[in-house]
Amino acid sequence: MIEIRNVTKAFDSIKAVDKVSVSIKENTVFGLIGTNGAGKSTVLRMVAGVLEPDEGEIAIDGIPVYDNMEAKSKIYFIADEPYFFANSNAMDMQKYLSTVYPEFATEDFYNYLVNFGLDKKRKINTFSKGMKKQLALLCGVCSNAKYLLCDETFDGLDPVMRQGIKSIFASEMEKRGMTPVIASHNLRELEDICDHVGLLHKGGVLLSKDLEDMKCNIQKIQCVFSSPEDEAKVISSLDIMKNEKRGSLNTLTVRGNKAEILAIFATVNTVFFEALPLSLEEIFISETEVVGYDIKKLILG
Amino acid sequence: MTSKNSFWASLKENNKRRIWLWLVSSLVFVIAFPTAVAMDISRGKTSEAYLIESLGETLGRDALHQDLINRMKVCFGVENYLLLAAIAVIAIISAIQGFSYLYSKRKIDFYLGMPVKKSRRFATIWINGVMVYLLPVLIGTLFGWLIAAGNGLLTSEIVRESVQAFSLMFCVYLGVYHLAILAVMMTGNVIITCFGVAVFCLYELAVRTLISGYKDMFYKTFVYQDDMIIPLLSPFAIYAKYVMKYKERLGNGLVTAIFLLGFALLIGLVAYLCYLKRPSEAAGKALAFRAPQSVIKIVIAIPVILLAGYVVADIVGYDPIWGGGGIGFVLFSMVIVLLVICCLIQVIYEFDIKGIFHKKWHILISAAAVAVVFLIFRYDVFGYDRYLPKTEEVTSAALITPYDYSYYGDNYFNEDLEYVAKENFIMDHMYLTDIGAVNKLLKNSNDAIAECEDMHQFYDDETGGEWYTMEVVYRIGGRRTVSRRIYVNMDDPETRELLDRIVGSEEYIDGAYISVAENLDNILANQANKVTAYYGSNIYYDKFTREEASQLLALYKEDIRELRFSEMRDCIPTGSLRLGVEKRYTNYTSYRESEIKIYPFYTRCVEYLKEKGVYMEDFLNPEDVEKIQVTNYNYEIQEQSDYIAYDSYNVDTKLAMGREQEYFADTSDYIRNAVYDGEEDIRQLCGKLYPADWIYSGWSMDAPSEESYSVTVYFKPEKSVDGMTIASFVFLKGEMPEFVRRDTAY
Repeated sequence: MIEIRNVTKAFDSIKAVDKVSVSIKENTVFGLIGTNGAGKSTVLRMVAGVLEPDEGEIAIDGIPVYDNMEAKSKIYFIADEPYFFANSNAMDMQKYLSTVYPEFATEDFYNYLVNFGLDKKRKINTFSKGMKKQLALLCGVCSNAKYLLCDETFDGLDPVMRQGIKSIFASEMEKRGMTPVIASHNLRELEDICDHVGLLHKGGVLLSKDLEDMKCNIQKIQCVFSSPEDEAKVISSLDIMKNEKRGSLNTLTVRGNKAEILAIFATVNTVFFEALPLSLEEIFISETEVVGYDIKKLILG
Repeated sequence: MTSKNSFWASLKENNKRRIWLWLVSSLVFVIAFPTAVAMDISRGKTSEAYLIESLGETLGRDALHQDLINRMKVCFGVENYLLLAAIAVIAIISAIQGFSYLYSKRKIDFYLGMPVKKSRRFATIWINGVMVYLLPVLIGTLFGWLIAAGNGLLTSEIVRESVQAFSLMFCVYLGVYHLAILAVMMTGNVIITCFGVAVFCLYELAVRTLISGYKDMFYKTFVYQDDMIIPLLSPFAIYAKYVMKYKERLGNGLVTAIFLLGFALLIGLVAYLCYLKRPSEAAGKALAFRAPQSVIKIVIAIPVILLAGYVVADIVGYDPIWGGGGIGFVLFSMVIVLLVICCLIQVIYEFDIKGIFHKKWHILISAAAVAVVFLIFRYDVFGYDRYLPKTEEVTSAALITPYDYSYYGDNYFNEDLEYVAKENFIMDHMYLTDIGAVNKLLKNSNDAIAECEDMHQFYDDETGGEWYTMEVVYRIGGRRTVSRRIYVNMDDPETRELLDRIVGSEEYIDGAYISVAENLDNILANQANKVTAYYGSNIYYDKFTREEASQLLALYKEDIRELRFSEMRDCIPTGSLRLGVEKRYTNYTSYRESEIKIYPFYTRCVEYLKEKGVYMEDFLNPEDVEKIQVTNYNYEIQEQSDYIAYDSYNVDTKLAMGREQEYFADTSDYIRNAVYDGEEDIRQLCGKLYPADWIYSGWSMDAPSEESYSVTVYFKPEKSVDGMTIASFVFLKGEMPEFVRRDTAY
């Protein structure tokens, strides 16, 4: 588990990260979401041991990470603009990474290169931006590091590649319990990948929750009540986060278990009733509006 | 966690990133260096035919071999400055290239994200940075040796010199390498790093030069010495000091190597600590650490501002010692440079022109510091011009005078016929113990300086006195020396008495005269030197053999022991021993000339010269002279006439000109010539004439000659001496024949 406890980091007079505390469990895909300048990269760079926190602690499986070989050997960090040696090709990178990650999966690496259509002998500086990101991801996956930290790595990948990477993640998670941590400013990029999401804003954590929990605990209901009394009865019985009414059509975002909510609706007469699936975006909108933020302005733009 | 194998793998991987540096280093050390050795040998051999032809088969071949050996000594030895420069450049490039990842956020993210300890990464880069120099140099030296051996030039001496130079240059490499690493650690981009390296290498030199410049500008007793500006904390300076001593066969290579290693170790340690503390986010910034930014800015600004003041003072002629004005320009320029430099550094720090006026307090601090420094010099706060050491602190002293010189050649050179500055020669040989007398001279000088506002007063006719400047050097404790310029009034009986004490002392004679004579003795004794010796009296010279010259030198050494300053000061030499020494090298011949003056009171020398029949009572032989032309400039009448002319000058014009000296009468109106070609006139005049050069070459600057008169002697064509047909002479005061005065009167 990656434990981030009360971590603060400032660059000159600008506080990039302010008392952030997050726990990232093993064998989950953790999404770190936030606007530009929210502190995502800084958090990831501190988790990777690149930056030293001004305050607080970061531990990888209980071991402090900064300049600690044991902790860092469990991590592979892919920066937003991944670096490759000048004039190198994929083979050169493999050779270097094999010296620092003794368990580097060389065979898998070359297999993946073939599957992704990347030429192992082609100079990396001739690769497209997307190809470089793929290569960086493959390097990270094949390093056999337990935690793969990806900073904006998925941004710009085409759907086919995303799917490919997703399947590799799934396979590696199943095979060796890999834990990807993915930072992105775009909520939609993470929706289909992440199990757990942390939302950063202005250097602090707004929330950190399990995606399934969030989905299970928030329901979206569209209905038309047969009478105002029924409507009043239901509304008073539910923990309503949001209620939009257009004519007689009510769209309710309700916190609570689906079965319990359906049971409450069963006690009244409705002309029309439908439980709708919630997108991650909608969950976030609802959750952050509760704490006073307009998520649309923050990350959906 | 760190296995030996993976460390080697890291070294190997790191080297892959530095291949171009290996290529450059190999090009310089493995290819260029042995090629230079081969070319030097080849160049040396071009004179083979000439040497054999001029010296004969055996001697010619010996001379060629010796020359080639000397060439190899330079190639492989400590005096190969080109190699040293290459080493310094490689060291700087190696350091910057090795740690350049610290300039880039992308590279930092990559490297620092890897499970590699900081210490190990440093070690990897450091080792490779050393190897990139060491291996090519070793291989190149080996190739050089093979080339030398192939030509029969690899002697044990060459190997020894080579090993010594290699060791010392390696220490220099480490010193420069660590300085450059420190610069990388303290900065965040390559341009600022280069600037940092320049600051590390040149700052002390610049500050020392500036201090000596300010002392020269403000202190009347300041004496410039070369070693004042040589930095203490620079691998180049430590090395250069050794080479200077090495040339004199005095240097200790091991001690120098220890100093260099100590320096390198210290800087390396600081660089490593900075590396450990360096924040990763420093990439791309001007300076890596925030804390020392203010200090660095102020420490750079102060000397730059003072330098601006110094340069402007030189341009506008601001000279507090001699009373030159222009302080306003100096201060104005310093204020301008203060603003420019502080703002410029701030812009560099922030990489943003908008930051130009940030941290205004830096400007205030810099201004205050500069003002303090300037005022310290201007008002001599620490009493530089009042310096007087305690007698008991001084172990010995030296008095260096600019007088007692020769127009012919120079007496100060070493056995290799290399020029040695008189000050250095005297410093090496004179150890005066009568500190009381030296101190009294200095005290009188200090008192005189304190009384005058500027130095013009010293030379003001109304103030009186015949002022001379000399240099006194005190040796205090083990190694420290303190030098001061002193002003002595030769008209002052106490001063003359003190000089009699000092100049007549055995230590002074040893340091100023015997040492020179012994140096010449050694040169005469070396049969490899070609020596030509003459004794004569300015016009006429008789050739001496090497033995005769030695004999005269031996007698001179006895006579000089009885020297009295007053006696010498008021006396004109009767003749001189001139020595020309040639030392032949393959392609050139080194030649030095020196002259020992013989005074009439050198009784042993005079007796010897009389025995040899070469002593001359007079400087001219009347039989050789065709005519004598005497020119009287009538200076006294000119001065009176000037006054009259000035008095009648328009009053308004005089006011406009401001200074009366700006008006002169036409001097040619007052000049009167007389030519004497009669036998009797020539005979009478010859006994009264003295060589113009010689009367000024002693201790007396106050010419004992008739100032208004100059004499040109024309020799008979068949009697010309060494092709010389005319010569300049003067009359001594009171010795001029009355008929000449009459003939040339205005």
